[in-house]
Amino acid sequence: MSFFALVMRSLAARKTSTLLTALGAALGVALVAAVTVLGREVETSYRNSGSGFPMILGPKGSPMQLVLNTVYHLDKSPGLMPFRAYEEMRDARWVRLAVPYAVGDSFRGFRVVGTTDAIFNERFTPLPKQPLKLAVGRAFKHDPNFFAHIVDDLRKKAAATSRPSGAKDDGHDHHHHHDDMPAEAVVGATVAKELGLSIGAKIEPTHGVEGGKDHKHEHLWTLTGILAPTGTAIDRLVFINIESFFAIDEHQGGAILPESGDVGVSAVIVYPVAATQRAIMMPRLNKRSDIQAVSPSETIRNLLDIVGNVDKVLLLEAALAVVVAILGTAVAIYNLMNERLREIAILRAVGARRGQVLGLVVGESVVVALMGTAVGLLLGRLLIFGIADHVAKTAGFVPDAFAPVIISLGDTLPGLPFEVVAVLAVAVVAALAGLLPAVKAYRTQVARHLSPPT
Amino acid sequence: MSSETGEDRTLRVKDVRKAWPRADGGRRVVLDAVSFELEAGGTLCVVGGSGSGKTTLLHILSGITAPDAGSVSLGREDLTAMSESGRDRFRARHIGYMFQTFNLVGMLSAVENVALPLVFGGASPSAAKHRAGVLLERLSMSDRADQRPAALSVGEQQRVALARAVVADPWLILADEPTASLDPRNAADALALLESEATRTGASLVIVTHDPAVRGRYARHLVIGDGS
Repeated sequence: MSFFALVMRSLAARKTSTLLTALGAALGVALVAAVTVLGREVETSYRNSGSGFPMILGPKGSPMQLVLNTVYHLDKSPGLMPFRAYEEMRDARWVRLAVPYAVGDSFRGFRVVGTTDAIFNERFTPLPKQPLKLAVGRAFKHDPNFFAHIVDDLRKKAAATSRPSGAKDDGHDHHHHHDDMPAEAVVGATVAKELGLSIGAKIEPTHGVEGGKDHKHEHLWTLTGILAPTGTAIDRLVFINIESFFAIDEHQGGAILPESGDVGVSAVIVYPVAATQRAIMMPRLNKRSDIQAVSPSETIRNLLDIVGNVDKVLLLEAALAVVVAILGTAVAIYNLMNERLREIAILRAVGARRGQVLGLVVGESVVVALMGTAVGLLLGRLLIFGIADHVAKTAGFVPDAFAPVIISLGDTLPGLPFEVVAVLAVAVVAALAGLLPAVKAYRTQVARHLSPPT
Repeated sequence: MSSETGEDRTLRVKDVRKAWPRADGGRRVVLDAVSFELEAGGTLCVVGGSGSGKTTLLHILSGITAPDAGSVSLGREDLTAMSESGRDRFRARHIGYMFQTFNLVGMLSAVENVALPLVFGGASPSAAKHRAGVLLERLSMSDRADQRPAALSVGEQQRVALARAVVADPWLILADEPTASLDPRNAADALALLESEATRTGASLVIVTHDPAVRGRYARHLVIGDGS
């Protein structure tokens, strides 16, 4: 029988107290683990997604709202920006790729984005250096000429409605093309999985991101491709070719910007040829009255700075819960110590030294706390796993519950896995807390507690 | 006197005094200038009435309690000159103690109880358990080795307590009222076992008793309390 076995026997003899106190530690550690892992996942995911999109153009307003809506598909769209600005970007020499987003519809709870086939370009990288990949099927068909026609039609229509009453349009039938228009969709991995969609499925978006009234249109969209999982909000998106988005009757009226009379799009993701051009162009673009240019990574850094402080408070609270639980363990051992004085005296009488008795009691405190820690670490990860779906819906990314989390210990020391840090920290706190009952055991008067002197 | 190996293992007790504090603030002298020598392998029967200081004497001989004055040495080792942890270590290795109420540890099995002195003395866990198992087998207790004390009869608990006292091959065995809980027949068997284990290990034996039958078994007595 080893010294450790003696510790385990002692704990087993007080099963209920041991299990309850370990459970307290487990819940505290689970909270710490969940906060730490989720916090790290939020940071990693938001930083990655942010840096995947170097610049976003959108209407004037809140940069945060624009980024949250365009990158994470959260919140409402801040509005529309003139389509001309997209055309400028598309044709500008300093721009490598410009991707328009038209949002506002949904399909059975998943947001719909009208865009061009630029999203299948290898330079469109929602995560750094990771272009979108199709898991099955093909990209939707995008017809730039058709799109140009539709935009042209819409502009003319806008001009006509702004003319004095009685004026007529050019008599051109704007809708005659629509029957030939490709109406195709590509969906993210989660959409396909949750809705059980396969290639060829028919999709019918409704107006409004929360789902709303049906559009009255003559035909449905055909699913041509399913994207490989990205772990980003894209997994929960339905992409349709932008010309088909604009062909929806409801969008035609709402897509006109009253101030400029131009067609509106929600946002444009811009990939400059070089980072320096982004730095030069951003302030210039921001001087314009019709658009704003936002760097998602900067905006996200600001957001994380705010969230990070909340995160630290949460972590501190969770850590305090662990400390309280460990103190509870020590107090439970301490309270039982009066009943154990004879047992301690017997151990001393058969040769245990004071230090060994001290070690025995400290060992009990540490073992109970570590048992709780082991369960808590697993619980914390399982908690993240359990809420992953909810996080994906509300925060726009899929947290990896079992992603390794490395804790930095300063500039000079190598980082350690979170689990190792947690075990070490708990062991130290439990050892210190265990000193409280251990000192009582240490001071046990052997002769007095063995039997009364005769 | 010396053991079979030639090592001096004589127990020397010289002018040992011990007093306990009284409720009125004074002190009650329980041991007053107790002196004796016990050669290796010898047996001494300590007798005296209740409260005469018999158990206190055993605590002092084992190093559990330090005397107020006087000296106790076993061979060349002076217990009264040692630190407390030194006495603890010495007790684990060289002194076996059999308590009146056995004092087995309830959360441990019989074999684990027996192995305790070896574990605290620094033996490896497997060696300690093996040696404890062999000893229990010799005491016809092998089929009860994994039982907790609560599941053992009084006689069986007594044998476990005996095994624990002799497992480390001590130089000195201290037995406090070893037959107090036993009927006369079991008492005689228990004493025979104790004596045979003491003979086997070459240990000296100090038995505290108030039982005339036990007293009658031994030639050498130390009477304390009245007329020590």
